[in-house]
Amino acid sequence: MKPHWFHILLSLADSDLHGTAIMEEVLDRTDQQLRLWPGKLYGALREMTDAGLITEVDAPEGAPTEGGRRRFYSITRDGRLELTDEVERLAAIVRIAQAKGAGPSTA
Amino acid sequence: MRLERDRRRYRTLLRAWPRAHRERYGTEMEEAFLALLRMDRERHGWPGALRCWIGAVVDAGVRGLGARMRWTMTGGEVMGSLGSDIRFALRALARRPVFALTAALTIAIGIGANAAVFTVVNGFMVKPLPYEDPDELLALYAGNPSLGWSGFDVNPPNIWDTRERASTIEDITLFNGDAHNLTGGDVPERLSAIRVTPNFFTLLGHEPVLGRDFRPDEIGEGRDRVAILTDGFWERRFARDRSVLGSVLMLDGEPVTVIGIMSPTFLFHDGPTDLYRPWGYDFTTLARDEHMANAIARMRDGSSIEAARADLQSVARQLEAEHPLNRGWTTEVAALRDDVVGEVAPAASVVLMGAVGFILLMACVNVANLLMARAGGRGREIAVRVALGAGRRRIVRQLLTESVVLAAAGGVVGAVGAVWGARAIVGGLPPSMPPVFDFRMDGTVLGFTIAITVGAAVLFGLLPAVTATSDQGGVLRDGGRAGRSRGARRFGGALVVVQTAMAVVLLVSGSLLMKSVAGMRAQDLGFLPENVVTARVAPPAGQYATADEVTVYWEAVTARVREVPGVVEAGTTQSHPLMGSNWSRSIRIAGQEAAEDDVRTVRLTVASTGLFEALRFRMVQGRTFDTGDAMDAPRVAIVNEAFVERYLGPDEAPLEQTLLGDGAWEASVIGVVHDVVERGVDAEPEPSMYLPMLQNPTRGRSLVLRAIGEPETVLDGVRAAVWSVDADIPLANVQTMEALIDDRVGGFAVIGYLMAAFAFLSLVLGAVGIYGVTAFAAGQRTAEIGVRIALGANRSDVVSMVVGDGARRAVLGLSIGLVLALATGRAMSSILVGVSPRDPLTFIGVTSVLAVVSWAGLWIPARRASRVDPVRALAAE
Repeated sequence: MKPHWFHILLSLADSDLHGTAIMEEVLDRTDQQLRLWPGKLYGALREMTDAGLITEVDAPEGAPTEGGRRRFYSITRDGRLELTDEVERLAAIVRIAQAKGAGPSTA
Repeated sequence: MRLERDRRRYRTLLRAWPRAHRERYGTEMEEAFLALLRMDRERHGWPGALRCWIGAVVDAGVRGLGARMRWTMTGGEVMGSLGSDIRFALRALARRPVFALTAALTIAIGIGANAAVFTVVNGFMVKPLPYEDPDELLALYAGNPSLGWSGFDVNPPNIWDTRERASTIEDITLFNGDAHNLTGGDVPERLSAIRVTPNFFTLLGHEPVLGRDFRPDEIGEGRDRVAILTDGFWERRFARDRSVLGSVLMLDGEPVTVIGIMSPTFLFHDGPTDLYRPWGYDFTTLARDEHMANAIARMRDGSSIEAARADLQSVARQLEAEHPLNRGWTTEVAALRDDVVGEVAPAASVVLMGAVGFILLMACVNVANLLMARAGGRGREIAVRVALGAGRRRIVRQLLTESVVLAAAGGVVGAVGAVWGARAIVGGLPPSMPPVFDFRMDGTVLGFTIAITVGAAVLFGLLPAVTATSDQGGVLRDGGRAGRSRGARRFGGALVVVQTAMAVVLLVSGSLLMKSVAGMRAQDLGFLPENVVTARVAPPAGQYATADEVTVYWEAVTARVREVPGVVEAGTTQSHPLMGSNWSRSIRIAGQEAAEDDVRTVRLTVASTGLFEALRFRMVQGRTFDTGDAMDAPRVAIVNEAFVERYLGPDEAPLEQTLLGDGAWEASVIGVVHDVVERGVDAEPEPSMYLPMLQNPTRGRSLVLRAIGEPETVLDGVRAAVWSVDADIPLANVQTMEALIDDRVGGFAVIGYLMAAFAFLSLVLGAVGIYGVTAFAAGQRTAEIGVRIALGANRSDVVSMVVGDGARRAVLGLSIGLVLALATGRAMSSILVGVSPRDPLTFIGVTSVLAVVSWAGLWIPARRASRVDPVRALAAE
């Protein structure tokens, strides 16, 4: 899975967000390291919607919609499965790395 | 306001995406981008905003155009696909290889110059300093506004109190340059060290890569016998041997344990150093008027520099109230980045980026002109395609694709050239520059280069493409001869005006800067640097404990050095000109009707006998120090002209004054010396006081000597002379005075040479442009000229007809250029030394040079036009 897809799915794992909020959440969570430029972000959102990993939803109750322009996204069942697969794959890599004595042993 | 402008600009970028995508996501992408831009601007100021824009351009280039390409390929509209446009463009360009090569090279020059200069500007202005969260770091200085003093070293006890009290500050570190004699090897070596508070590395966000950091209690007398080595020193002296960790070095005869080694990526802006040690004494007991340390502070998260400044100044006011010696003193705050970068680099960045921007514009103008000429030749082809049903948009797009392909070729060549160019510029920068700047190319430079390449393509491609496709009926009717509408000819004329104006601006600013550099070298320094060499020597405190022992050592050294063949004169001082030290002292002048606390702050230099003679200081009044000014003699002092001008009234004779200092200290003025440039060739002279070494002996000194010829030739003899007194004491920082001056002038010299190169380039581009436009216009009128000659017109009439048009435009361009150059000169005044931004000679010179060049550019094609054979011209009809 492309790293930025993974991060987008991760942002949507616990709440429905709109594009700018996804971008800001990823930026915060990665300590400013991963920056989803608008073109990259919306390209991914579109492809991920087409692939059925996420879906456009109505804005949650009370969320500012900026005059109805903001599209909110929600993770689908397929998306959640893909995310779980990816997390397990990463966890397996971490276990292998630790077994080889690389990386922080307390991770 | 700004928001709306940013929004508009981003909307332009959005056009890179296919319409369907834009309509669906455009507003939201805009919102996301503006959020990013706001964040970058808040955190990093304009460099952040610039980086964000460059990122957005790359994003649009890669994803927008990428999506478009996929879209056109899968969307079925095969005719419209970018791929076939590009193939077609390549074929069209290959048919005219000379044209394609000329155009691509012209663009390459423009883009190369921009990318090279931007690489350097990026290193200085955009890339962050190599510390953790560098935007939170502040440089602190002491200033005394009532005396007009600014940028002084800080007072350690004051800063340590500030560290406790300031609420906006998370931590402060104090550091100071030091030096040690390393003994125990084959030759003694002088090491440069930095004395730091134990929190130094933590504050900067670094830690030793091997071993450990200082512990908080490792500071003060006896507890300072630990050292952390820099990677450079570890490599040079110990060949990266890890067993050095834990070993003991003999520094100034004192055992010091190596506890850590820094990584090669740790660079400190205060210059290369060999090792770090904690302060060796309790600095909190120093007097409150000892200004002698450097300070870096880290702000708390979320604090702004304005808040920190207000906070620190309010703490300074408290300290002023608590300690009388602090009267008038306050804490000055600068972002560490601004402090490290200095004042010259930002101003130079603006000037140089402006210059290369002009170069690129001129290159674009020339290529646009070439394209216009070619579009004229292709008028028939285009008209036929339009008549056969090709849409105008379609043809504009095809022509624009050709421009983009040309620009891309130029961009690649330019970028490769820029790697060399940037390396050459960096190579010319003065060695004293802080070693923390990273001048390698990175994504930002790449993005910038791509952005200007695309910009250039649109700039030089759009107008020719649009004019070439207008008024097609006319072209077919008159047989494709004219090919070029009146609008296009007017455009050609406008090009001449713009190019002449830009050439004036570049030539004027280039000449002013060259003059300024030359002036700096010729400036009166107050001393003669030729054939002077200096070296730093410090007898260790262990063996030379008392003032007497120090004096005996130095008298012996000076005496032996004076005997070395080739040495004319030698002296010693704690700080020679341009060394960068700023010792100061507060004094009062006896008899002056001044309040008790109205102190005079002066720069202090301690000078031995022979120093004034070795440096050829010029006495205005009185005498220099001699061997009679010893410990048991009355205290004496020499002041400079700035001192007299600033602190003494017109009827106060300098030689009758007595200076009063701390306690019972007083000294009579025995001489007035001409002002000496102490800090930098561009700095104002400061009121200074000189005291004799014999009465105020300092341990570490600079040995200053004047040789008969090249100073390098006497160095071996001088070393032997110094070691004949004590073989364990090394000579450090051996350098000639001229090298020091080159170092100070160096930064300005690079700017000067670059501007001169750009001015020359602009002259060439301008001449080529004027020639091209005139030759083309004359070529267009061949038939008309033929008729005129057939009807009996004089050849000289033809010349003046062709020249006349262009001459009017050149004069207009010259006048606009002169006005712009006046404005540019004012903007540059901060980096001009000793030359007025409206220097009349420069303006007259540039105007004449350009007049001659433009005239040549006009006359040559005009003369050729006048030789038209009327029969042939008419037959071609």
